[in-house]
Amino acid sequence: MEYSCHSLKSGAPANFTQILNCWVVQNDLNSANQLRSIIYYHLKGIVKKQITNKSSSNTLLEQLPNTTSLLHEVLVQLSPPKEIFDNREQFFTSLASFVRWVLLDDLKAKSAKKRTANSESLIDFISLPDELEPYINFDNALSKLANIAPRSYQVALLHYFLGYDIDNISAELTIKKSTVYNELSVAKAYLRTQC
Amino acid sequence: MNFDTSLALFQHLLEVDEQHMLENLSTFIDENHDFYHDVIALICAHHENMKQTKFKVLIGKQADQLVEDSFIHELVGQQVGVYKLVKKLGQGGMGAVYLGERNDGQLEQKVAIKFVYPSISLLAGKNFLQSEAQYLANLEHVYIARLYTLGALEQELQYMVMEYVDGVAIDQYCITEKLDAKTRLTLFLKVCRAVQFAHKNMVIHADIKPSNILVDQHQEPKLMDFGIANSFHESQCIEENNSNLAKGNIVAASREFASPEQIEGKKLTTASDIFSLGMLLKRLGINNEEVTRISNRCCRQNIEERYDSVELLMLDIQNHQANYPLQEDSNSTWIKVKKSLQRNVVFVGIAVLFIGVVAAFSTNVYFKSQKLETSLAKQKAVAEFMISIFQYANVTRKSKIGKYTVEEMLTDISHRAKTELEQYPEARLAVLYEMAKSYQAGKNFQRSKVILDDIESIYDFDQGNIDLGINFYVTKAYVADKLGEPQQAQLAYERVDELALKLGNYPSEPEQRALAAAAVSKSYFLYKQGKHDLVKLTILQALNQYQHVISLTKKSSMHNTLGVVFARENDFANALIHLEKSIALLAEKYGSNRHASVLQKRLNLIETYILAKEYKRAETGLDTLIQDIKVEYGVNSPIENESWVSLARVYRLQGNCSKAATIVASATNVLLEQNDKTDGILALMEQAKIEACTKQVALSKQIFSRAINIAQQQFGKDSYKHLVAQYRFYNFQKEHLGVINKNLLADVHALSMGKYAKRKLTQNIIKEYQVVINSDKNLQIQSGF
Repeated sequence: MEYSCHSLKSGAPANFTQILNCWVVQNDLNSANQLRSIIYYHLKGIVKKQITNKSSSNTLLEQLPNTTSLLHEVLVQLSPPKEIFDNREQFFTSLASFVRWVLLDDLKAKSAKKRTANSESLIDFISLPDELEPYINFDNALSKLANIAPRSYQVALLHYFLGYDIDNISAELTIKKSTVYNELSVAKAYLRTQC
Repeated sequence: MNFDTSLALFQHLLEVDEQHMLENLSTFIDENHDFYHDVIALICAHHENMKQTKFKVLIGKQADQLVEDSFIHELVGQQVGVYKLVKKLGQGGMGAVYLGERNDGQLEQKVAIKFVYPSISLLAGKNFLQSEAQYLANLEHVYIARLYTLGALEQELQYMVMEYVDGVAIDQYCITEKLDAKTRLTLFLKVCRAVQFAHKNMVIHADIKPSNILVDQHQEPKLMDFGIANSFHESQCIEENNSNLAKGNIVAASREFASPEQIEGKKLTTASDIFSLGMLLKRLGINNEEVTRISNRCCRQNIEERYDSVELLMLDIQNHQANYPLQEDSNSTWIKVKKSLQRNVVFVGIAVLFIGVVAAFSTNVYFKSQKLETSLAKQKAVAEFMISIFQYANVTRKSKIGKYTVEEMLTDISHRAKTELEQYPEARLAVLYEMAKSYQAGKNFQRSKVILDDIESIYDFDQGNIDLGINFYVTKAYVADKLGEPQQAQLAYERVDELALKLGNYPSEPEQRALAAAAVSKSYFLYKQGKHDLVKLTILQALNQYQHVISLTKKSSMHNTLGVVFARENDFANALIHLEKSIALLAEKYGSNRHASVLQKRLNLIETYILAKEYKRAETGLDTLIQDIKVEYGVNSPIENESWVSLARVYRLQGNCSKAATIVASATNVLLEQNDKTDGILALMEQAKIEACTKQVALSKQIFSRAINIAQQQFGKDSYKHLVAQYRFYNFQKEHLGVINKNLLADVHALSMGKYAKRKLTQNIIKEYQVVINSDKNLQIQSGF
């Protein structure tokens, strides 16, 4: 399907997948902002109670899948039409990458206190530690994992940034559960040794 | 297989067997490898992840519900099948256990319902509980809490309905009920029985501790909570990662009862349960030196020094209760290895079996056989073969656990050794020979023979090491003898002689040792054949030629055999020389002539004095012996009573029957209480003779009948003991009642001509029979004319 990323600027009700595609394919910052808004408003609509992790003993690694699982709810309403992406796998990977990027961006912004009053931040909904360093370490470790074990990275991306569990990942990526389990375990073990 | 990154190797380990990554790692790389520590770190990280994952992953799906972590802990009031959850009984790392009450109006029934964290089911697979249940289903035993059924509430919430035990932890129970030592031990024995049963069903409990053993209202213990065997694999990580003290403490909670190997995260064996039983026994607070010795033996660091099986532990407890001496700790590594093989043949779990067999194999292959040590290729072959066994173990454990018996697996191993080690004849020989010996040690002579025959068909001992060949044929002869094939045994000993001829004038030490062992084994065989002259010749020659390679115990036993042979031939002078020598050697070995095994030999010596009619010597000997026995065993032990019976006999034989009568009855009664009735029967017959001597003929007859009855019941109509009792009764009737019981004599004669044809007693019976029956015939013939 042919479409223009510029048309998105017009403010017409945008197709989520189309916007995501623009972000992925053309690295279009404008579409990124739109995506962020869409997700933000969806979160606002869904979340009645705030998610907090009361126990401070939980590590970042444990918190991520729970908090980002909110995004999973978003996805239920933003399901991808097949014709735009070659396959669903690419769609989910892209979306998860987007969330990863947004989180890092928001955290950096928050830490630099550059955030303006009207910019929406995903981290308002997601309880992450105030300190930037652990998350940056985590993100760096993810990048390393992407190089040495691409498939583990992909599974981890969906798990950490879309809140998917083994069943979901297995269904969306059409790979065996045991494989997902194995890849995810590898990712988690690796991340733990790095963080 | 080669892996270029630590992550790739880790991923592979994870795929092969998640529970045993640490162990399996060593089959790929050792600790000197570049990324060994990286892989360890990944494995530990994984264990850590497994602990913490819980079911947050799962609840993440329902963000709007914000389910609490403790959801599984708040199920009181829920309906589960026909049961209503009444209260929570406990919780642990795997889930929580509730008390369920049946409320369908059918029955009043209480059950324990165990829930497993959904995340655990999710991560470990839906079959997780099922595999635990599969083990438990086989364990129907009065002292093991039963499994009723398995179910699932929602998709992921699995549960298990089990027997509810309304009871108190065993250690608490002992304190609150103020149990005496005897009752505590009885309770402990019951726990042992439960564990023994589990082991026989190839289940290792792995978490025996007081809180897992509840004593119910009927004062019966119930063993609970099987199937956590894997929870200790994390522990090595704690050592790797000392920084995290809190984690160490969590494990430390159960460490008190866990064996060292368990804490080290090694594979578990039945010996780990024996260790925990020992810790439990200590906890029961029985203040007794001997009981402490038993518990200490259970808790030895070295597995080989512990009891080889729960049976043997129970036996020692029973020995203690019956005032018997405890079993001896063996100092010989060789015997320990053999015993461990024996244990493996008989009761261990599959994984344990493989470890045990492999450990024993490597011990033997690498250390016992010096010849094999020299050849790298052979070592490699054995190692590869062992690895293939490990692979086999993995396959069977996953798919067919419980379906294969240990026997079947050993058969399979021997088959594989035969075919897969074809290129490495020496290694194949070593593996097969060890198999055969392990069967022999397990008293499965038939299977042992099959393997020995296989070995003989593929290996030419004339070309190999002569000592190995001699040992092989001695084993073969022994097995044949045990199978009741004396001709085969004879042939095997002839092969030993042939091989011995090939030795030079100055055999090496291993060769001498093989020859000495052959002589000992052969002398027993010859003794059973009744070839006394050959026994004497064989033993005397061996004692003379191989003196410095024969151990004290062996020497002692050789002299003992000689003494018995001479006594049989009524050459008491020589018999006494050798029996005394035998005792002296044993006393030298144990540093005292009051040691348990010396005391029995001393009693045997005194019996020979009696045969030699040296009654005064026998009497003084018995006096000191009884004193020594009391010091060693305390008062009223079976061996003390045996000695009393002997003393009574000495009195009778000296004509002092009334004195004999005063001591024999009570001793006889004690001996009859024993499980093995042999001593009791002998004592009864002595008592009967004494009563006859004091002219209590009716009583005597009664006692004889009792002895015959017991012999028949305990050992069978065809048993030698029954034969002896009957023949003595015949003699008694003839001597004291003036009756010649021809029917009885005919019975005795018929029985003695069968399998007891070679016994000395048979010769007497035949003589008597000829006299009585022939005179009968003569009479008939005369009257006929």
